[in-house]
Amino acid sequence: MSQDKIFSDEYSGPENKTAASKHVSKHATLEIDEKKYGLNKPQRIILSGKLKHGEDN
Amino acid sequence: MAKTIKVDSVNVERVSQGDLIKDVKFIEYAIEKNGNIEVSKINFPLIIILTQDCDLNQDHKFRKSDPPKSTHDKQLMSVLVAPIYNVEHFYDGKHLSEIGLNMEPFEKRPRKTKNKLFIANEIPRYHHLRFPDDVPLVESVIDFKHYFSVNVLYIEKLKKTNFVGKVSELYREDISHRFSAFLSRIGLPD
Repeated sequence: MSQDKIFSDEYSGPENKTAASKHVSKHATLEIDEKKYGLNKPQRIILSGKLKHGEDN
Repeated sequence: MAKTIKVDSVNVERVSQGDLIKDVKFIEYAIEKNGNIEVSKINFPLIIILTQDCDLNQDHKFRKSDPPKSTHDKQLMSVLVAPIYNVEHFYDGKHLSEIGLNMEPFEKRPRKTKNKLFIANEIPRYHHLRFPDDVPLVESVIDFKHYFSVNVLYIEKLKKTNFVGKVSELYREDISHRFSAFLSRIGLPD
């Protein structure tokens, strides 16, 4: 798939149901409340998940 | 006294050199092993675009060309950016504390020579930024050593919602010139 499609507003995710992105869970998410930009520090976000194989695999 | 830079607030579609964009994600790594996947990314609250503006312009023209160009010769692989840190965090050496990195504290006292050099942008690694009062940005610093690259289409899409401003031309050229000088420095043995 082209990157144009991946970054388009219409893109809804990988077509292959076995793709890992269907099954990732967020260990940490951040909601940054900014009243003035630049007050916050860089934060790390780790996403992890397990590949699930479909029947065709 | 630090010089105040000028910032334009007009948001155009294409990514431009000097653009200030908030909440930019940098992928540290993505690893897959034994069916397990882990992706680590760092959210930088504010970055500045460093890639040359003519390159960004040509990339945009080639991508948006209708009819499409016969080649992809001028398309970029990525866009170079540098993080911008709150200068108060920077002085304390704690600006990367949330990602487990401690930096050396920097001389904060304004009468000290090192601080004067910093404010005057005479230390190659750093670029001090003081914004006008009508721009919602705190006094900041660019650390040229921390530059990284992002996907072209990712940053173009993000810009629609996360554009903060654009450093005006004269000041962005100053930043670009200092960045290139920093990158091309020659390390001599101690």
